[in-house]
Amino acid sequence: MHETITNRANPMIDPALHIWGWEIPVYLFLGGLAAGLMILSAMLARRDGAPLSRWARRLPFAAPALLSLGMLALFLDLEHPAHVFRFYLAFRPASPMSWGAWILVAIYPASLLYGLALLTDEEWAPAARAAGPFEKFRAFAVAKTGALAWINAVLGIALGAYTGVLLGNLGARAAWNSPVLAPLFLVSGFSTGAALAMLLPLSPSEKHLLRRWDLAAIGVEAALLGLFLVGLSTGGAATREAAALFLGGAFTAPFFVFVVIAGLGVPFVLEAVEWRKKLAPTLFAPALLLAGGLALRWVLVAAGQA
Amino acid sequence: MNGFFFPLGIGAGEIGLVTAVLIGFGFGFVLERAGFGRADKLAAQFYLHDMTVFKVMFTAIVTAMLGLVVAGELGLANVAELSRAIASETFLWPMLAGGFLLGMGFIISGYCPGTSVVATASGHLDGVMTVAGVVAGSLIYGEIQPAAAAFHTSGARGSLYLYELAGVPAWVVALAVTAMAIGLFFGAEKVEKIFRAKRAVSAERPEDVRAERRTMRRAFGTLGAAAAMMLTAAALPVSATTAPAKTAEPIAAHALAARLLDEPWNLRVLDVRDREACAEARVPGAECVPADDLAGLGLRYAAGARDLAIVGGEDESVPAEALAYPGKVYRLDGGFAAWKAYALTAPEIPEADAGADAREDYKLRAAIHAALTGAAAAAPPPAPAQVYVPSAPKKKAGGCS
Repeated sequence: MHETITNRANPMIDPALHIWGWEIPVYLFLGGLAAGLMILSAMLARRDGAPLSRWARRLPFAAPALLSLGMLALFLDLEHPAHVFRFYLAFRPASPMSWGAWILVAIYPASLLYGLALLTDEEWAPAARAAGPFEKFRAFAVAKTGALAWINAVLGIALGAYTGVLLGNLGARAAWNSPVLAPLFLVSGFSTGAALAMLLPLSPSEKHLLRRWDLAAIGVEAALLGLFLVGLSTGGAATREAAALFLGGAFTAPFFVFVVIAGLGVPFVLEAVEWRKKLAPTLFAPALLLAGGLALRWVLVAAGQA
Repeated sequence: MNGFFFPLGIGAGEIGLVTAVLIGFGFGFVLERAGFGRADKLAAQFYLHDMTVFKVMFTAIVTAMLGLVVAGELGLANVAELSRAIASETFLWPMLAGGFLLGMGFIISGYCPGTSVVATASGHLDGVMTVAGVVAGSLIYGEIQPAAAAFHTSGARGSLYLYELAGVPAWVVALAVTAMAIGLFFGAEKVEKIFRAKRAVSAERPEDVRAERRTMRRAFGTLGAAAAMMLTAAALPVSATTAPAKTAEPIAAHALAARLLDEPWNLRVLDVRDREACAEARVPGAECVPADDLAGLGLRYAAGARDLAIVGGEDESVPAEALAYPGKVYRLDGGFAAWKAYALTAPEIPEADAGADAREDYKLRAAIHAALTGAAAAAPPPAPAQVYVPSAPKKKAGGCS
């Protein structure tokens, strides 16, 4: 018997699997960047030795700025932007999106207060006259600087990991369904955060420290990427097919070119050479790292929907 | 094996691209270390007192050429196939204009496209600006290219190779170029010495200036003569070796119907008849694009993942614009009339004693016809009743007889 199916020629009958465009990878990248900067600014302030340089003191303010840009991208992706308030009418402990929504709002006061706390009195003085009631906030922040550093570090880790959990717990998308994504995105966020900080005119000792941390982060990230691929290729048929996308399939070239070679390998070698030969850090390796961090999210988001 | 020598070619695919990027970073690093990220080093080439660019580039060319030719002679690579895939065909006029523009850009910025990327990586702002110029120029040309399509392919000479023009094996040309390179390297050293000495001596002495101008005239005269020779060679009428013209494969109406029902997402159907005829009746899912409007679809730039089926009228020729599509191109055999006769005309009910194939074919056609026209199809006649044929009675054998 012949079955005649004519309605499949109609639009939208076959399910559309590719529903996330540029907004999601851009949000994941900027969110990871903000997370990395929050952790880094806490780590830089708590190290022993010299006081923070001018730009290092302003680093905490970069996190909410970048996060706002990322959330704008996320907002553009929403089908019903007016419904966004509903995230804040409930807290669902089993939903990564609910966790994320609440983490995002917690970050703003935490990072802004921490930023206020790091400003010197001279830097605050011009604003103080206009600040009025904000003077109290700053006094509070300065009194609790240590606690704020810890809160920023913890919230940064939560934000960085949550972006990975968001993709990782979607069982229907084999390429994303990996517990490794959470630490991978966290470490990548840390590394890109360090890269962004290295583009700023920080003091040489701070740059040196950032480069050392960044080298470690790139190493861990490469290992996690390896684990991610091993995990996919040793799973069931669906996940093996997802691994094949990166190992010979349609995403092999973008993944290895932009993420592995240009995004991790080359900057690692450059930073290692600069470090061993005691050269001043250049801008090229951080620029590559930032592009690689964006490419990682872009390729993963696209491959999961292939 | 070709994949290894063939990073950007068809067939090497994803791994080939990864290899190319690895080689690219290595090449960029070497160029940077050689000082090619600095415009003054590159411009020194034109003033002839530092021939590093010439020496490095010529060495790179000779090394790649020798590697390729040796691999070809050893049977590891097909030189002719690789050359065709990597090198562009010759288009005389656009190449002349493009070469002239590139040269002007090279002189003005001090960088060629590759070294501008190297300079960007070194952090030189002029390098960044040059890369921006390369990108902007490519974009602008891409936008005006459809309007200048005739110019883009003018003066086509096909693929030209020195060894084919000279009628000798490739390795003979390779040896000649290598010998020339060795000679030129010594020459370059001499030229460098002369011009460094000239630079050291102050230019106030007129006899030196005159000598310098003489040398310059000689150098540029030689270059001009070489360019003229190359132009003459390029302008020679050469039988262009172009790929055989692509043709559209005919597809019968029933095969098209089967594909439309089984996998409509893998087929793009274009109806090239005039709009009125197409609007009246067309193959389901067909786009009405009269032949004159095909260029607007940009088929030649499409990915070519889906097959393309062209439905025409009585004229069965397929427009060249459709043949330029990179994927497979079909033409409906018999045009729309064949489709009408097959899918839009009620099939004849088979005879009661028709075979199983004819009955199945009827059911398919009736289903297509019903689906496309909304007409209810008559059920096929019932299968002929099984006629009871009693088996031959068993021979009765008596128990004891």
